[in-house]
Amino acid sequence: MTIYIGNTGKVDFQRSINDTIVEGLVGPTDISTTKNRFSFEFPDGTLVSGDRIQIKTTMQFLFFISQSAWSDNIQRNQGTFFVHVDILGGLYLYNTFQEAIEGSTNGRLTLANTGNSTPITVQVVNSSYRQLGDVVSYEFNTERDSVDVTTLSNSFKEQYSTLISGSGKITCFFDYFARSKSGNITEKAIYMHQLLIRQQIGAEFTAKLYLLSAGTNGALDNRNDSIWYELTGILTNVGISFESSDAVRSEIEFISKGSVLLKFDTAS
Amino acid sequence: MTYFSGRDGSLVYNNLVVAKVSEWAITANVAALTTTVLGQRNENYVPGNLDADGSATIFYYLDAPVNLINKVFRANTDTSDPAVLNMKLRYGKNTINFNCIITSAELTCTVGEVMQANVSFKVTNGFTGLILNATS
Repeated sequence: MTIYIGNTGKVDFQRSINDTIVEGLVGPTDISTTKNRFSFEFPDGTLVSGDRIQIKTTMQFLFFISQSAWSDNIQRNQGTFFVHVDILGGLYLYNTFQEAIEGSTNGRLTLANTGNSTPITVQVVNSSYRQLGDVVSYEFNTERDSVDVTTLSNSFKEQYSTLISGSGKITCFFDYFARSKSGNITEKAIYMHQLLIRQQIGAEFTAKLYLLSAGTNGALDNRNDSIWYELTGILTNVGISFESSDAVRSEIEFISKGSVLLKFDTAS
Repeated sequence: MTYFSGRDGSLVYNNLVVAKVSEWAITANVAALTTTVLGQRNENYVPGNLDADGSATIFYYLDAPVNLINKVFRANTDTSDPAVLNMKLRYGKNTINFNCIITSAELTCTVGEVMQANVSFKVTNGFTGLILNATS
């Protein structure tokens, strides 16, 4: 018999996207070439640091992104970048998620001010799964509703199964800064706090809740399997409390949206 | 003393027990016709006609409620009058026997619930048979 303990689990998290496209105009006064910062009018909460965004223009190319910012030194009329958003709504572009979360000058893409105004559309696009960092515990419950179909003259209750739903709770230490775990950059609790109040995208996410993850069970029975729940969730509650003698933790509650899948990977 | 519950109940239509009935109810009323005249300090009544109506809820399982709801759900090519039905409500050995007209039929299809039909009926020409005190 094998006993599994909590260290075989983990939570992989993917930021959700939707079809919302934000339109704006980046004028010469919206660009700071000393800070490589630009801005345009967009509703609060549309963009969050770490988002992967696609910027398009109907002009010849994106004038405000300098030639050296493109990997092949060829300017284009659309590109995909990671974004860092500062407190004033200023935007900084990066090529990696980690750099975008940190928001430092390292890796910040160079902007140019040619005096042209550039009409742009911005859309949050697909991001990859990242492990949710510093998770202390998680729980996930799947529920099946039933309808009482007992009829006259029945002696025993009769039930009919109907809809499936899921709900759960994740507890993790609060953090906001991108730190790597085994060489991979993890998603931090701060995004959960941002996501709950993110109106344009909605508080949706996609997650894999691992009961058993590859690489964690080898010592037990020399296998390397994975078992996980895969779901799209909606955050319903994100809480945080401060106590003088305890580490600060974020409590994240969610419900599932649509199907809940329990997947196995025994091929690894 | 005998108690009755839904386990003892059934609804019979044309001498056949209707399947998947989850509830029936019947209400009988006697009209109170006022005979109060000027100068009187108390209301006075004489009994009027008896009137009764009821309802039943039936899970839509196969064709369980069809023979009742099709008295109201009728194609526009059907010009005949709706039939008067003989119906019997039973609990234990007690029976309430009457003829009735189906006055409404409601079909409900809801997410997360089993589809069911609610049927209302109006008793015509009073009860044709009543046994309300069978002890077992």
